[in-house]
Amino acid sequence: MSEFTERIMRGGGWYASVADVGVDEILQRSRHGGGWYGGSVPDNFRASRRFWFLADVRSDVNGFRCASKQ
Amino acid sequence: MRSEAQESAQTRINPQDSAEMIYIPAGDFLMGDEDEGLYIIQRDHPPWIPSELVGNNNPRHTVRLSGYWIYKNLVTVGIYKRFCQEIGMPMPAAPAFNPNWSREDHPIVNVSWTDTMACCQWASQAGVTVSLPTEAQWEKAARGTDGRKYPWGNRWDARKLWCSKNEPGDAGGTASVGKYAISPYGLTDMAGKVWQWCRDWFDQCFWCSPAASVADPENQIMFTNRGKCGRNTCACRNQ
Repeated sequence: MSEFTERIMRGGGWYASVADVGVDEILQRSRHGGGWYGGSVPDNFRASRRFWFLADVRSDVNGFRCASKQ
Repeated sequence: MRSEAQESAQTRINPQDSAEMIYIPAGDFLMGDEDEGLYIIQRDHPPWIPSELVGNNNPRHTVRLSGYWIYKNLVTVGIYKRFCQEIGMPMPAAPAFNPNWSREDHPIVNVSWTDTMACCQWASQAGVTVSLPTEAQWEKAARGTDGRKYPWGNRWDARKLWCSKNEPGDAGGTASVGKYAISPYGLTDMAGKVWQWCRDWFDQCFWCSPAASVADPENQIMFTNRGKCGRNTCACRNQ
């Protein structure tokens, strides 16, 4: 398992905008290894700052909703 | 104040899990961003993040989607308990901020992509076939069609969403669904609170054509250049 994957599995990840919180804070929080229990990051719906999780990872920051084409 | 889209939104209930669904009309929307922040991150990203992932941006482009329905709220602990009870599966480990899963109106967490797809299958037993949203479906439902930065507009406002405010984790966990980060279509929690699984698989080059207008993208082509990704890699939008 890569260090990247281990960090993601430990607690969420990093997903924020430099414009909003500053690069130093982003890097600090990313090194924190997660802890973004509240979802936490300002612009977290933007697709440009995606993280990718392994499909079998269970994290206390991952939820979901459903959709339907019918 | 409710938006025009919220006022005119069609809604219905999925009888299997009693979840309210909102109809997102067919049409184009602006997906992705081109702001400076992304480029700074690309230059200065932490060394443990593979550069091919950091470079995996999502330049603004037009995406055309068919109409679809999407849950107004996150799937709650209460819904997920019913799913687990009916199929005989144990609940996932409860997080410290929701001991014994006692807060049933909070979003379920500690679920894998595979778990969520199984729950979608269970929720499809009463005449409404559901799945996870694609990334494009999720983003259109979150930001509407006008390319806004946040579900509520272009101005950052920490009062609009449930999130850590001063210190990582100071939100103290999740909160009841349905109160924060309301999108132009009336969906809730489209920023903050939890990351939200999407159906798409990882494909680094899917968004490489900034001017592309694509119809109903379902990004399910494997990006296999990195062996650790394989078939188990998929998207989670924090959304």
